[in-house]
Amino acid sequence: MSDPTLDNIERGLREMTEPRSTNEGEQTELWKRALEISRADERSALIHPGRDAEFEPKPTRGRRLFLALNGVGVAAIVVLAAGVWTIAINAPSPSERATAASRVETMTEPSTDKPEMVAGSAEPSSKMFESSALADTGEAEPFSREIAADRGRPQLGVENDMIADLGDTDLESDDLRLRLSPDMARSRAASSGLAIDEAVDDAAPVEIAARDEALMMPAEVEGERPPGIMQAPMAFEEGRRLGQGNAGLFATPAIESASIVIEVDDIDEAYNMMNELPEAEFGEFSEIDLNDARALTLNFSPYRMNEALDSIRGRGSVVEESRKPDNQLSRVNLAMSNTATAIEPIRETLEEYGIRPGMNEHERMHVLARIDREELVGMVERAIADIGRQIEDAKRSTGLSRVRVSIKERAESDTIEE
Amino acid sequence: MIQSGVSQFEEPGSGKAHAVSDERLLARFVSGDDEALGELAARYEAQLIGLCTGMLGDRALAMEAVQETWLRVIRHGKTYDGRASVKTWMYQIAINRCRDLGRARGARTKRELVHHQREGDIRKGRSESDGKTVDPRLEAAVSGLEDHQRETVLLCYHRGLTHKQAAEVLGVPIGTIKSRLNKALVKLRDALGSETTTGRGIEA
Repeated sequence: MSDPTLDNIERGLREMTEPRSTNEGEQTELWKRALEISRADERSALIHPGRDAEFEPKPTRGRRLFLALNGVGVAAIVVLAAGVWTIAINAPSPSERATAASRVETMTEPSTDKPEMVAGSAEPSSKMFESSALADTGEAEPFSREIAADRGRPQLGVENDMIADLGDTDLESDDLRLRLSPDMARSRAASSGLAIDEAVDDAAPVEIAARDEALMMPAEVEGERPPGIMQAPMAFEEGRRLGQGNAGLFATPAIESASIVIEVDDIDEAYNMMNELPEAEFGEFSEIDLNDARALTLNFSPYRMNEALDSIRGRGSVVEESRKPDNQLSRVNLAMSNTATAIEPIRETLEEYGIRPGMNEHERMHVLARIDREELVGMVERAIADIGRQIEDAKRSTGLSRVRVSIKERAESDTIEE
Repeated sequence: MIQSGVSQFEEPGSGKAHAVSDERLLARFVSGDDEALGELAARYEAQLIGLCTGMLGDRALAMEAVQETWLRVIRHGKTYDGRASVKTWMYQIAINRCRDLGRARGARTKRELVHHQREGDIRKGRSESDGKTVDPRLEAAVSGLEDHQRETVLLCYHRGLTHKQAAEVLGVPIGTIKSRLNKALVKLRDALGSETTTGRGIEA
C-alpha cells in the first residue's frame, strides 16, 4: 500500500535535484569558463612563480645569504643617499663659503701671521684687536637664548662675544694686547665684516634660519657692542689671562675640537688643584698626573670647561690655542667616509665572486653553484661586524666636541709676561 | 592511477552508455586534450548543477559551485588516484563546494528567504524556480533537515546516483545512508503530512 504523501515527497526530491542547464535547452559550459580561469592562472604563475606557494622554492642558505647581502647593499645606498642629501641641504651659499674660507684662513694662520705681543699697550684703535681669552672662565656670560630664537634654531651656549671688537674696549689696562700689522688687520676686518653684514641682513631671514651654528654670525647683539670681528673660530688666545674670557663659547657644537696650552706660575699648585676635582670632570685620555715635562693634560667636553678650569682661574695665561670648527657637513663627511671604507671590502669581495648589481635569479644561482659558501659567509660576517664598528665610531664622532688642555709651568724666559 | 581500457560504460539511472570511460576521459584531459574535459562536462555538468541547486537552494550559488568543481578537477586531475570513480570524485568535490559556499554565504538564510518569498505564491500551488516546478513547502521542509540528512536525501534522489554511489560520495557506509534516508523521509512526511490534511497537498 503506497503512501501518497511519501510519493509526493520522493517526486519532489527528484525534481529538486533534477539535472539543469544554464539555459533551458542549451548545454552549459561552466567547464569552459573554469578552463579559461585555470589557464589564466597558469600563465600568471609563469610570469610570477612566487605567487603560487607550490612553485615557491625553499630558501636555501645561499639564497638567504644573498637576501642579506641585498639588505646590506640597500642599507649602504640609503646611507650614502642620505649623506648626499644632507650635504645638498646644508651646502653653504657662495657668500657663506667665502665667510667660512676667511675663517679657516685665519684659524690656520701661519706662525708668521701671528700678532706680536705688546705688553702694556692700551690704545684703543681699529688696528688693535682685543682677545677675550676664549679658554677663560672668568667672565662667562649667560647664554642668550633670545638670539638663538631669533635665528630660528636652538643654539647651545653660544655667546655672542667679540674678541677683536673694533669699537670701544672694556679691557683692563694690565691686560696683554695682541697687535696685528695694519695690512692683516684690514684683511681680517674686511673678510669678517662681509660675513657680519650678510648675517644681519633682515631681508633674508629664511637663509639665516637655515644656517648651521658654525656658520652663523653672532653679531646681532644690540646695545652692548658695535659689530666687530667675530670671535668664534678666528683669533688666537695667546697672552690672555685666565679669568678674562668667555668659556661659554666652547659650550657649543660649533667647536669640534680645541687644543689649549695654559702656562701657570706654579705647576704643583695647579696639579694639586686639578687632583681635587672629581675625575668625572675629565675625559678618558686625561693625564692628571704630572708627566716627564711636568705638565698636565686634560681632556674634557667643552660643556665642562667651567668646572675643569675654575680652580686655576687667574693663575695662568693661555699661551697657545687652536680650534677646529664643526658643522654638519664635516660630520656627514666623517660618517660617510667611515661607512664607505667598511663597505668597500664587501664590494670588492663580491666582485671577486662574480656578483654584481642587477643580476637576475638565474645568474645568481650560477654564481652560487661555484661559490665557497663558508668563505663567503665568513667574509660577510666579518664585514658586517666591521660595518657595525665603523658606524658606531662614526656615531660617536658626531656630536663629540673635545677640548684638550695642557697645563705647564711657565718658563723663566717667557717674554709675554712682564 | 587512472583506469582505462573499458570499452563501454552505462550511467546508472540514465540508461546512457558511453563508449569511453570517465577515467579515460580524465586521463586524456590531463595529457592535454581539453575536449575530453568537454565530454566529461557533457555527461555531468547538468547533473551537478541540479544537485547543487537542490543543496544550496540558489541557482547562482549552484553555478558557482559547479564552476569551482571544474576548476578543481582541472587543477587536481593529475593527482586523481583512482581510489574512487571519477564520477564519485567529482560529486565529492561538488558536495564540498556546496558545504563551503553554504557556510560562507549563508545559504540556509538564503533558502529561507526564498521560501518566504515563495509563500506569497502559495495560492498558485507551485513556485517557479529556474524553470522547474518545485513545491516550496517541500523546499522549506528539506531546509529544516539536519545537514547530513539533507545531503543524504538529495543525493539519494538525485538522478544518476545509486545509494552505493551516494555512500561513496559522502564517505559513509551504505547502511548509514539508508538509516539517514529513512529518518529524513519520516521528518519530511511529518512536516508535510499535517499540511496535506489541511487540503494543501504537495502534489502537482
